[in-house]
Amino acid sequence: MNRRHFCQSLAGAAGLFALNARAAAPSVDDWASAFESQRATHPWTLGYVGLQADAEPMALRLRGRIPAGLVGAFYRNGPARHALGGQRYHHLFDGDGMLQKYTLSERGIVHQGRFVRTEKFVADTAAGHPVRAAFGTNPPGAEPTPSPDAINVANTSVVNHGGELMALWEGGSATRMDAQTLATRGLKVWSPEYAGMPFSAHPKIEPDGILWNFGVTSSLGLLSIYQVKAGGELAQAVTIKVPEMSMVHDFAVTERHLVFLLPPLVFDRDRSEAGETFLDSHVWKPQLGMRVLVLHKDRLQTPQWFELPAGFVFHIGNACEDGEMIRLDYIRSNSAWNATTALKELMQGRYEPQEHPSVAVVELDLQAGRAKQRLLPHVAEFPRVDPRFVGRRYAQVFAAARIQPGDRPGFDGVMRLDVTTGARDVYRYGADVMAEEHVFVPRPTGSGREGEGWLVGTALDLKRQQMLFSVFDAQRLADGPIAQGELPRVMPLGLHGIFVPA
Amino acid sequence: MNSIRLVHLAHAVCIAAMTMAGAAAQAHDLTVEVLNARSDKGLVAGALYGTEASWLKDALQGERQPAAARTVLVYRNLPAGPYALSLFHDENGNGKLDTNIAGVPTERYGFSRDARGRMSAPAFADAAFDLRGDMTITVHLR
Repeated sequence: MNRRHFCQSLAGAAGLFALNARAAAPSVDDWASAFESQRATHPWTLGYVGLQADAEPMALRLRGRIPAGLVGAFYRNGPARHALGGQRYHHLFDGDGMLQKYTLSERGIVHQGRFVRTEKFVADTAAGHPVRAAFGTNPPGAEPTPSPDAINVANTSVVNHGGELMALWEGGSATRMDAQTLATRGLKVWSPEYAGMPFSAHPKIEPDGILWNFGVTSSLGLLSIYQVKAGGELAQAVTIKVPEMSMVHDFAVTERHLVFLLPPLVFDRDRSEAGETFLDSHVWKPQLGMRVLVLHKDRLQTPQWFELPAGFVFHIGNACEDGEMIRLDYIRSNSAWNATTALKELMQGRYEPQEHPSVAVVELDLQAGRAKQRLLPHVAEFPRVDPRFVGRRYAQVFAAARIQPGDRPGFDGVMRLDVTTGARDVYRYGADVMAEEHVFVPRPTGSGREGEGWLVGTALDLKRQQMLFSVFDAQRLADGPIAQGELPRVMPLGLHGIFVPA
Repeated sequence: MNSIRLVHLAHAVCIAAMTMAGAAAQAHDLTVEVLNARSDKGLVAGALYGTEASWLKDALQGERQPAAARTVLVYRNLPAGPYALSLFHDENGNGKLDTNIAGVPTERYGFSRDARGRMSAPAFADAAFDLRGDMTITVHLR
């Protein structure tokens, strides 16, 4: 297709990200008071109170010894300002991103956190209440949304690539951050044509340093693909049209392919134009099944389609080639109930267990065009893998595990799962500890064998109202942490992290 | 449809700005103070319209000046009546309002009365003002 023609047809499809901020009611709603009323009786709500100010540097009390090779910084991003001026957001994913950093050195561990100074953060802060739309909330009297980056909260993940640390969101540009001070530097522009285009929160960095990512422009049904050289320059960006565009949070790479799982939670422009939030503009259409879109890296314009039973997915662990097969694992739910309902109720301090996500293993037969799925019984989320094995033959997936947390949301342990055998190695923090995502860090002096290294991550100790930073031998999780730091303050439970060696 | 209008807007603004459509005979001067340019590179261009039917299609007059923190555009000899302006900052001087691949403008733009559409240009009525004598208005680019 002729380039100009293509651009005009895109423009013609119109609507763009189509988040509109139609005022629902002029007055402040009761979400803040609903949440407040649950605080005393539901201790887990502590993780979702949120913060109003940056967290100044603070040292952790350390038990055990940090391994000599584990020097660097652990960064975690997550929604952290859940309310402003008495108005509480309606969904966990709405809040302004705070980038946290745990610096590990011979002198111990020091923590700090800074809100990303996005355009929305600055505008809302100046007004003293939210004046721009969010993923799941249209604040009363909010301004119109002229572009996705006007409501970019940079709250989902963080990536370090090409010498640049970037805070990521799903619907807009990456935000460049100062790795030392956590100061916000500005939006990343990959090319003039892709300025302001969505750059999702789960880029994949292959062992050779090449970064792949994608972005979804929901109302135009566009899937953009980015390939970035190890040095940080854009190698190529391609955009294809996808019918019945889903909410897509993550994807996978293999040696030759990119793999997308499209849950049947589909964007509906009419809902958006009628004033629904971005989240509520999505419709559950199980009749579509879970569509699988496979793109050969050399033929990004030519999709191959597979179908799995309907289900919802946020995260894929890893994927690899096995002859003419692609093998992958992901965290599957029967429906989108967590995304559309539970993470809203959580913002009111309510928790009703209905369904839990668990591990699924998939085989795609590229020749026959067939997909096979096997469900494992382990309730888990936040799958992470050895970065040296991204897109390569692998077996091990690390994840936050739900073992026996009682009547509360979230996770109480971590696990290493061999997705080829189902064997597990599990550590349980306890019912009073809410585990966040844990990240695998390779041992720099090791043999290079998969999974040789450490698992590091944070958790909220509800009883002692403090954060735990734990270091495990990744092959001996059940033994418990070999080192653990206590941060004597509560941080909002976040989303994704990375470890950047010094 | 909305994005088409933004594309049209870009074209209309450029054409009007570049051809300096012939001036009307008499009457009032309109001074437009344009604030919020992202840099002092390139030009600030503004197209003036007099009717809903011609809005973002057929400009009465185009004006352009080197971009500055405060750029002033002057439209002369206008008969009294309703008018609306669309403006943009042609930062790279390529004569058009640049957009990304999805049609979202990547250069700043604005409308009289600081009117804003929802992912699109506003309607003529939302940007229109009544010219009854010499007049100065301010527009903020976004």
